[in-house]
Order: sequence, then C-alpha cells, then structure tokens
Amino acid sequence: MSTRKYTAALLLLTCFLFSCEKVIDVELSPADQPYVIEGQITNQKKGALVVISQTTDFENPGTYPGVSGAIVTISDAQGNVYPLTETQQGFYQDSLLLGKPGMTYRLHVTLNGSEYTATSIMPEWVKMDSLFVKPDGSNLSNRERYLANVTYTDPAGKTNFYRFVQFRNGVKEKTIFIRNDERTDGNQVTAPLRYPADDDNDILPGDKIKVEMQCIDQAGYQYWYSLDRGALGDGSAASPANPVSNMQGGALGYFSAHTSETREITAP
Amino acid sequence: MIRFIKLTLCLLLLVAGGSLAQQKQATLVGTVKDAATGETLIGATVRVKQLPATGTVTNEYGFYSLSLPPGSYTLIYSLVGFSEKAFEISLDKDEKLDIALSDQATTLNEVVVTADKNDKVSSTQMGAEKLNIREISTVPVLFGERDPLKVLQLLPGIKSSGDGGSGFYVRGGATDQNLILLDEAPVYNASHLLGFFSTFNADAIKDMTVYKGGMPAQYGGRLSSVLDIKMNEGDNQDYEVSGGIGLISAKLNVEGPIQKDKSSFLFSARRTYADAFLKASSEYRDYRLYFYDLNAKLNFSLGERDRLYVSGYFGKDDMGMGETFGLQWGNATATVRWNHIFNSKLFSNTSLIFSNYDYNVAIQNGGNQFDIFSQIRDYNLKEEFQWFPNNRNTVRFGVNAIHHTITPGEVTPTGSSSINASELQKRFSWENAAFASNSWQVSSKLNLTYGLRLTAFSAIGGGDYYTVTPAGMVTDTLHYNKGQIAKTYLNLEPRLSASYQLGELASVKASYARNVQNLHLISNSTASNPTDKWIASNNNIKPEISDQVSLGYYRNLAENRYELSTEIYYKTMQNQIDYRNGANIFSNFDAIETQLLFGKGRAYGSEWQLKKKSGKLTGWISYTLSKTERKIDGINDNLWYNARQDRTHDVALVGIYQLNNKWTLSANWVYYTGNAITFPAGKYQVDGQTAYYYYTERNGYRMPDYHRLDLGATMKLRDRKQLKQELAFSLYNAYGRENTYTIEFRDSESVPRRTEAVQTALFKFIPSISYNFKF
Repeated sequence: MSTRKYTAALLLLTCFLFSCEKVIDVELSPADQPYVIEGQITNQKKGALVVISQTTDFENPGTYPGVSGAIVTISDAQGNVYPLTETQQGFYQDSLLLGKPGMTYRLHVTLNGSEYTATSIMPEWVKMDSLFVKPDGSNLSNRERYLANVTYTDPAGKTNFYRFVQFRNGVKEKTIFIRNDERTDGNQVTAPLRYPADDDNDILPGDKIKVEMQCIDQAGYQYWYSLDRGALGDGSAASPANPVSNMQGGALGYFSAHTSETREITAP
Repeated sequence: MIRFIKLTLCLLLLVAGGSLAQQKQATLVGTVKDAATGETLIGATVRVKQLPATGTVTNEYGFYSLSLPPGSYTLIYSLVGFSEKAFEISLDKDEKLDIALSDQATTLNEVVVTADKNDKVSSTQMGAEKLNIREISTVPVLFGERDPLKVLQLLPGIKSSGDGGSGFYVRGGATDQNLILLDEAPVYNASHLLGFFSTFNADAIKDMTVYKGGMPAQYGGRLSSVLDIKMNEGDNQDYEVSGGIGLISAKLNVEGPIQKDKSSFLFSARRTYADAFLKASSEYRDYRLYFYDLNAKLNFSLGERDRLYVSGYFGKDDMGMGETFGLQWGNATATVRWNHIFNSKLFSNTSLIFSNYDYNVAIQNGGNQFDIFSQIRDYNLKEEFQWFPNNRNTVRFGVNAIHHTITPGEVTPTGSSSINASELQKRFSWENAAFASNSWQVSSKLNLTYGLRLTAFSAIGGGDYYTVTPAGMVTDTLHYNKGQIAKTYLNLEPRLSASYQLGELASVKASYARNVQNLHLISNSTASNPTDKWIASNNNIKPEISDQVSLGYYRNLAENRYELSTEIYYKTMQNQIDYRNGANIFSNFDAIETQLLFGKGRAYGSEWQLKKKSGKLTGWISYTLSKTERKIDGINDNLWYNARQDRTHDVALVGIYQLNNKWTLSANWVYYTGNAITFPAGKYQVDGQTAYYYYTERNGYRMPDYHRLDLGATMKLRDRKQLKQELAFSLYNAYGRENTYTIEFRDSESVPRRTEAVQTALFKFIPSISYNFKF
C-alpha cells in the first residue's frame, strides 16, 4: 500500500541506469546510549515478555547484550500487579500471565534508578481466516516470487490495526508488515506479506512458512509505522527520527498488548 | 479593507500631486516588436536623446507610454540582442509609434551578447534576475535538453535542489515557496520524470524573470520568489517550423501568422522516448517511463486598441511497472487575456486563468486493485490597470480572485478488491487580492517604487473543519455548508523599493517586501515527489508570512563590458510547517493538521555576481554566502536548526565562447556546501532485528560538498536554403564527480555485525547529442 515505496523503486530504476553506490566514512559524534525496552503481553501463554537492551555507538559491533537487574511489572486496570522475572540476561517473563482483549495494561520498569512506564490496550481478537502461499502475481522483479497471504474479516465500524510476523524455515523476515483498516473497514481482507525483491530470502517451494497475526492498538501501529519510516537509515526520508512510542521515561522501544495467533504451512 | 482604500487614495493623490506641478505634455504610446517575427518585446528601453534622464521600459505586452513636453526628439529604442533603433519625432500632440527592432543574431542559435542598456545598474527593480532564451540556449544541460529552470539555478541566491530535481530554493525558501507562473497561470508541479526535467519547453518560452526580493505588488501568494514565465506569441510574419531530436527526447515547434501582422499561432510539443530503451531490455520491458507536453498560443489584434491572447499548456507524465503500479501526473493551464488601451495613459489587461494539477496512482497489490486520485484546480480572474499619468510615475493597480478546489484523495477500487471506495473531503477556498503600486522617478537619480497588496484568504465549506489541540488531537468538528466561510485571513503586504544612481556607472538599491502564502506543500521525501500534497490555510493552518529587507550595490566596469552586482538580504518567516515525527501524511486523514507542527524560520546572506556581458567570451561568476534556519516546536528540542537547504557556500561559473561562426563552446561549473542532513547518533535492535538507528539532532550533519563541471559545444551545420541546422553536444558532469544523492545506513554485507554508511550518486558522465533544425 505504500506508494512511496513504489515511487522509490521507480526512482531507483531511473537511477540504476546511471547511478553508483559506495561505502563512505562518516564521522558521527558519540551520544547518550538509551535503553531499549520492548514489552508485550498477549492473549497466549508465555506472552508476557519484556526484553531490555541498550543503544550502542554506530562504530561499535552490532551486538546487543541484554540488560540485567531491572525490576519489571505488568499491571492491569483491575489493579492486579504481576512481577516479571529475569529468565535469561535481559529477558523478563511471566509464563502464566494471560492477557484479555479490551483490558488496559501498564508496564513499569525500574532500572539503575530510572523509571520507565507505558500503557497499552489489548484490542479485540480478529482471527485469521486462512494462510496460504501463492505467486506474487505482480512483476516487480523478473522471477517468480511467492508471498504468504493472510485472510481475515475486518470488523465493520471499528478501527483495527494489525501486525504480521513471518518466519521462513524458522528465520524471521525483517520486513515490518502492518495494516490498518482505513480502506478495508468491514471487508474480507487478503493481506499479501510483500517483502523487498532484493532480499535473498525468497520463499521457495517446500519452505516452512509460519505467520503470527497480531491485533495491535493504535500506539503500536504508530510505533511500527514510524520505526519503518524513520529509523531504518533510509536515505530518502527527509527527516529521519526516532519512532513515536508509548514509552515514558526516556527509553526507546514500546509496550504492546496484542492478540496473537500463529499458523504454519508448507509452501507448495 | 477601509484602511487599504485610504492608503490607495493617498498613493494616487501623491501621483496626481506630482503631475499637477508639470507643464502641458504630449504622450507617445506604442508597441515594440521583433521585426522578424512580430513578437512583442518585453523590457525594451525607450530613451530620449535630448532628455537623458527621461525614458521608459516596455511592459509585459511590449507596450510603452511616454509623456514629454512638446518638441522635437530623438527616441532610441533598444533591447539586448537587438540592433538599436533611433527615431526622430516632432511631438506636439498625443501620438502612437510602433517600432520593430531587428534581431542581431541571424542564425539559429548564435548568441551575440552586447551590453544591455537596461541593466541592473539602471533598472529600479532589485532582487530580480531576467533570463532570455538566448542566454539559456547555450548553457550545457543534462541530456542536452535546454531547461530554463536549470539555468536559473546558476544565478546567485537561487539554488538547485540537487541532482535529479528541478525544484529550487530561493534565499532559503522551500521549493513550494516559489510562485511559478506560465502566462500568469500558477504551475503547481514544475517537474517531469520526478524532477529530472522541468515542465518548461525552452522552444515555447519568450522570457523569464525571477524576483528574489522586493516583489512588485501585482505578485503574491508565495513567500520566497516569483518566477514569471511568458510564452512566445508566435511569428505573425512567416511560417516557421523548428525542432530537435536528442538522445531521449524529440520536440517540434510550429508557428506562423493566421493573418499577417495581426494574428498568429504557436504550437510546441515534446516527448521523451526513454521508455523505448526499456522495452528493448527483457528485464525492464514492463516499465513505463515517459512524459510529453504541449504548449499552444494564439493571439489576435482586434483593432488599434485591443489585443487578445489565448494560451495553454498541457503536460503528462506516466511511469509504472506493468499492472502492479502506475503513476500519472500532469499540469494543465489555460489563460485568456485581453489587452485594452483606454487612452494614451491607461492600459488594462483582463485575464481569465485556469490551472490544474492532478495525479493518479494505480496499485495492484495481491488481490487488491485500486486508484488514488488527487487534484488541485484553480479558476482565476485578474484585472490590472497600468496608468502613466506623467513620465515620472507609472501606477499599477488591480484585483485578483482565485477559487481553489483541492481534492486530497479519492480511492476507487478497480476490479475485484477488498478495498472500499472512499474520498477525502474536497477543500474549497477563495484567495482574493487587491493591489496598487507606483513607480516614481523622484529625480534623475532617485527612483522609488512603493505599493501595497491586500490579500483575503477564506477557507470555505462545504465540509468539516476541526478543532485540534497542540498535541494533534481532534476535539471538535464543525460542519460548514457550501460557500459558507469557515475562516478568513486578511493580510496587508507592503512592498517598497528604492534605487539611487551613483553617477553613470553605479547604483545602490534597497527594498522591503512582505509576502503571504496560503497554499502549502507537504512533502516527506528528499526527492520531489508528484504525490506531495498541497493543502490550504484553514482554522488551524495559518498563512505563512515572510518579511524581507535587502540592500544592493551594482556597478558597470570596463566600459560596460562587465557588471558587478551584490545584494544582501535578511528574511524572517512565520508559520512555517513541518511534519510531526512519524507523521502519516499519505493516510486517510481529513484533518491533515493533526500531523503537522508549526514554527518559524530565518534566512540571511549575501550574493555576488560578476558578469561579462559582451565580446566573444561571455558568462558570469556568482557566489552566495548564506544561512537558513528553522525553529519548530516539537522538533530538535525546540531549538533553531539548519534547514535542509541551508548551504553556506554556493558558487556557479558560466562561460560561453564564440569560437567562430561555426562553433560555440560553453562550460559551467558549480560548487556548493552539502545539504544539512540528519545522521544517527547510535544504533539498536528491535524484535531481535538489526539495525535501527537512534537520532538526537535534526539536520546536525552535512552531505559531502557538491561540485560538477558540464561542457557543451554547438556546431552550426551548413544552411540549405531556408533550412538552418545545428548539432549540440554536451557532457554533463565532465570529470565524473560522484555527488551524493542519498546516504543510507545499513548493516554491512561483507563484515558481520558492522554498520556502514552508503552513498548513492546519480549521473556520472552523461554525454548527449541533439540535432536542431529550423525552417
């Protein structure tokens, strides 16, 4: 649905005829290194998970060890407080906590004397109608590409937001797949999960494809949308910026209460 | 409004007062034309040999009026590129005198540049740059396509938006802050092929003037500049066919008399055929990538006192990938103008103008197929009078009313689709203005032009208007019926400029201008994008306002062969618009203002130009030192930051050398400081994925400096009877500088866990050749 991406692709085609790429040296001044807190609670078991890592300088190797020693709780609107325990470095979990659609949840993290909080409302559960893999149909590239497609029935008269996570043979696809229902309210929706043509992780016959469908709240959609547009290091965005987040207290990341449903098939 | 009428009266009284003091006069009026084609000549100077301090300049329709005490005079008519013509006259009553000047250049593309008498030193306007098509034709350009907008960007204070963009920045303004007029019709998107070409076909253009400051009161609506482009009228003497065939485009121009001396037509067309190359490749066979455009003009002389012009432009771009994606966009303009000469002292022009810009995006995405359509459409009436009460004053006054309709987005499903049809509210507005100005020759040395422009912008229904909190939340919705006014902004725009001659060779000038802008372009990309959104002022989006003061010094050197000009300016801008972080401006928002932030801007700088105006070698060096900043609540911790177009140094060198009758050589070299850009301060992972970037400061870094040399050569081929022909060669980016187009940050492909910065450059050595003919 992103016209910008298509336009960019066309522009790149134009440029491809003439352009050239090279790696350059840039001198970046060091800055503070905020924590990255990613919290989620779902309507599935083992869904309550908070992962804490830290920003690092551009020059440093891209390893992001977990941050230990945080006190993490999730509470709900009824006043129940659930402490999460650190199961491995930087991973905080409560394997019994089950989220309920419609409930407001609050994340509270205390780390090195600072407090970070965020709230999220779990949306109603829209279930997957089907998952299938079929050829792309469009000729964005000149080879046969297969895409995973998810179908679902969008509830009429309500605002819904969705996120999909795709795994191919257990490897997570980096593309951020999100949708809203601005143009599809109340419809039977077929959502193709279109990944960039230049990825070297094309879906091939026989691949095990697993897709998780999440119903996320508006803040979650905003987060993934702005992360995708502003934080990927893309050169054509006029003003890259940190994503819009519901996290308070100066950390990066997000807290999302969402429904979760996973299906798995083998690509034909 | 009452205040405005009072001021206007004062102004006119001042003029009348000036004229009372004078003796009885006779008035000479007429039109200055090109002897060969009958085209009226704009800006031709009329001087009186016996009264060196007296003179006038033809207006945009070639008309002049000169009041003199009865007596015998020698009148001298001149214009750069034309042979000067002297005329003896004994004047005792009002007379009409039409003059035809002969072209000095007799061949197709020969540029004989002589010192311009109506130059920057003697003209009263400041901050203006005038280009005629002769100057444009030899400067080397990309793909050999003569592009007036690209030549414009070689002038001081006017900066290119970069490779692959025909947008330009004037004195720190954004690309949407330039009022681009084609025969008075606003052009909303002046670019073809995502900005690689401009919409202006040099073959159809007669004259272009850009005002960087001190805009005359008849212009308004944009903050930074006015680019006034006039189309050729068509040869009313002979039929003429000219054209050109280049590597990627071809064009044809036909003009001639409908009735000799009285009426003429012009028709000019252009099309690129780069898509033919794509078709030849198996990989890109399904891609579409082309544009075409048409210019047409008719003009009729309806007796001695009336003249009618009808002109139009139509352009279309089409790009796409098979069925998957298609993007078409284009401008259409039409202007009907009626010149009427009431008497020797009063000239009027009435214009009816239509202007349209639209785009359509066709998308096929999985099982979904739909179109998104968006449009801005204007109906525009302009009535202007020029009154020549005496030879010391020229008064202009008039009114202008524009009705805007903006269709932000209509979604239409095509074929089977799970997409709903939807339409964003159409937005309606009236942009009305009244203006008056007087150009007053106070003494032989001092000239003063002062004027006022009153604009009334009204956002009207039908439709919903919103109350929006500073955080961007809609708290209330008010519905307005069709034609009902939701919000009106009244603004008074004073315009003032003064020039003072320091002897024969030098002058100083000063000006002040306020400009108001009510249509704003919202863009979220570094490249100009056809789908950028035009939005109008409303109850939440306030008019942008700029105030600019400038000061200039101009001097002719070495017997008028060189001209040195320098100007300094300081400009403040209010109600500047930027998007919120993470704004979704392409989404289905009726209340687009929820995605916007507002703030202010300031720009200042100094501009220098040394121009060699005559001889075998002509050209110029221009240099601009400037600063452009913004301060917007919600961005960069509310601190001032460099605007993207802030470029400290900007240099352009243009040289044209007439080697002999056969060869003309040209070169230009540009250099500028890289754009201000945002770089990451760190990186992190999300959901187990790398690499996402952490940002702290807006536009805190610089792109690498930009520089480029272009070379051109024009070879005249042997004339065959009526046929004149030439070959034009050009080499764009002659030394293959890899100028940065974008910088991308990404995980290294070769070194695991490393992140790298990758620069993309466009256009290394683009050679081109084109063949031009005329008969």
